[in-house]
Amino acid sequence: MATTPLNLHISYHSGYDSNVMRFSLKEIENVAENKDVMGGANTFDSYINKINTRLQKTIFEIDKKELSISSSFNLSSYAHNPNKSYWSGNFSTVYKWGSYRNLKYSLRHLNSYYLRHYTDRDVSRSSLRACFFSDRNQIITITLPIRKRIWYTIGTGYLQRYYDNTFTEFDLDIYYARLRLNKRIKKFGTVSLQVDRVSAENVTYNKTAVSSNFDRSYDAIEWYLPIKMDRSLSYFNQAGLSFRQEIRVYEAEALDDALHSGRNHKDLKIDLWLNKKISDRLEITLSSRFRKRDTESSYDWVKDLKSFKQMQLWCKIKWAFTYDNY
Amino acid sequence: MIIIKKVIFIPIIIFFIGCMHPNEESIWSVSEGVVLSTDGFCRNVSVSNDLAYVAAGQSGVQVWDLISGERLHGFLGYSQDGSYLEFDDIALVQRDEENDLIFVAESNKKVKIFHFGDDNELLYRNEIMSDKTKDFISFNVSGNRFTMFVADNDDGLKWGTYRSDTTIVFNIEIINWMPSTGGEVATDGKPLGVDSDGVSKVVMAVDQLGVEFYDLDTLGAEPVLSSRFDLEGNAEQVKLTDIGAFVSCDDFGAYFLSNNYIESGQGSVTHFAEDLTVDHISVNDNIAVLSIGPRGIALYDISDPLKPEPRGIFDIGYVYRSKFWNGKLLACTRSGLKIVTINS
Repeated sequence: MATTPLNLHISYHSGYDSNVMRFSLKEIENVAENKDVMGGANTFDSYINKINTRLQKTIFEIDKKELSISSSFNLSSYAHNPNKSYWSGNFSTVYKWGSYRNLKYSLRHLNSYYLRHYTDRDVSRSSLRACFFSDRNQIITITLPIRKRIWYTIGTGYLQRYYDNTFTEFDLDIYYARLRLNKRIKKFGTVSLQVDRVSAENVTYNKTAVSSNFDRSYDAIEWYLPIKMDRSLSYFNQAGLSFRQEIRVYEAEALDDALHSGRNHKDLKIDLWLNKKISDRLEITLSSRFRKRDTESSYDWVKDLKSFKQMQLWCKIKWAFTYDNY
Repeated sequence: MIIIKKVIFIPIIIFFIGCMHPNEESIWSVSEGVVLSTDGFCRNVSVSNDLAYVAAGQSGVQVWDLISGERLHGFLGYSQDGSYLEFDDIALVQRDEENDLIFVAESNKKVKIFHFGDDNELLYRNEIMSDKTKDFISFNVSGNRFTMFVADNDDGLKWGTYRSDTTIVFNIEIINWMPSTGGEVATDGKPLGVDSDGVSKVVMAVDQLGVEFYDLDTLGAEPVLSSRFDLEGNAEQVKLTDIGAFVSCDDFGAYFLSNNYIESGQGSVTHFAEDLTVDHISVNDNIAVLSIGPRGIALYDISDPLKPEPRGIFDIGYVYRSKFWNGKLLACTRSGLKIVTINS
């Protein structure tokens, strides 16, 4: 068993978000009537600075068998919306026993992520409070080959999305199953299709005050289609395009819950990225994301309230280091 | 294969360690118990010896056993001078156990006195005070008397001590309750609610002009205006406690005025539930229950009454007012009298 090095990545992301608080067009039009909904921000958009570090270590490597662990930490700062700054972390361990054969466990934590200011209906009719949530996402997957250059991943995950005080009525336990098919195409790159079947249970339904009288449980299907091109490129090392869409249907059917009853939405994210390796240790990635959520409801005001568009632009610089005792 | 089993074992352990716990809010909870279906809107309740005397709107006056949840009596009207008269819309009720009386008032009408004794018959005696009675409170006085304070919307604070007066006409015994003392203190405001400790203080909510405090030398003596505090909004109801007064001000929420503030005017008024429409406040230990009409009730922790802390709004129906009984809350709602437990 050979001693293995410690791999370290540090990256800096500079970005722009056109709609930090995911306001609908209607809300943007009406914000002058109640500026408090901005939560102290003066703009809908913001520049973002993000730092990411990642450590990776192979614990053992015997023949084709390998056990490795990795951990990452992100710190995000929104220049024009201080509420939105947050940190997140990840830990994962992978056991590999051949090509396209691995078992992976991943734990991800997102800490106090700000959505926007909402009315705390548990105690008030109009007073606004900052709404934050934290995620703890755990997933275990197994990857196996089907035949040459085609492999699949199946897994199951458990995401706990718990809101900070005053908005715990939105707490969700989200269970999901994942299937992903991958194909490596010669002289082109990789194409994948991933489908998640999601079931979210509103664990605080009827457990707080008046605002928990509505059930926020939902079912969803999310598909994700990433296309990565890393062959036949003249200047860039990788170019990619991905589509991700979540189709969510709320379970609520109560007539007095117009906001959720019979509501569903389609949330589409289109990502585009270009990656260039400057040297063995340095690479730059330019990326963009367009997001659009279309809400369907029997009520026009719900459609107007819950539909939004968002654009993000990113420039990422990554340094890779290796620390080896020997 | 053995190594795979070991590898699987590690994430399973991490999974359980990795789960997080939900945050807990400082919200209380309520459990709705029995609903005493009063048919008409339950507008007001008076409790004596575990019996609830209910002002049931167009369903008249009802008597409920709170322990068994049974309706013992219901009176849709009464006999007067040989005629049967139906109640229009009973809004206020109070039981006087010592004198075997029930006081009732319909919206904007005089206070009617009924005898309700061991025979369980509702016998009309007479009317007292005047029209436009918005609220009243009565105290038993030794010698088979009672003293009543009334928020009279067009006159002011009416008060009187009444005694039983029996007259025999053509061998028919006629019993009336007649004032032995009484009077009226005029106010510029429009009285809507009244409360008293039955000893030395009377307080009256006077709509746009706020609240007025009156001092009494003794129960039955003439109330003397001691202070008036103008509050924002329309002061509708007021609850006097050992520590001060809680005032419900309709669209402007609620106020707490400490005894120190009431007596000296020093300090500040505590304004809370600012954006709620508060119709009535009841208080028990460190709990204040605000009746907020169609939205139910709002609970506040008043451990520090100068800083009431919100503990949740609970939709238990359209609530007019509430009253504590045996540590539970009796909520007067449109669907009846609800017995609610507050888990604080």
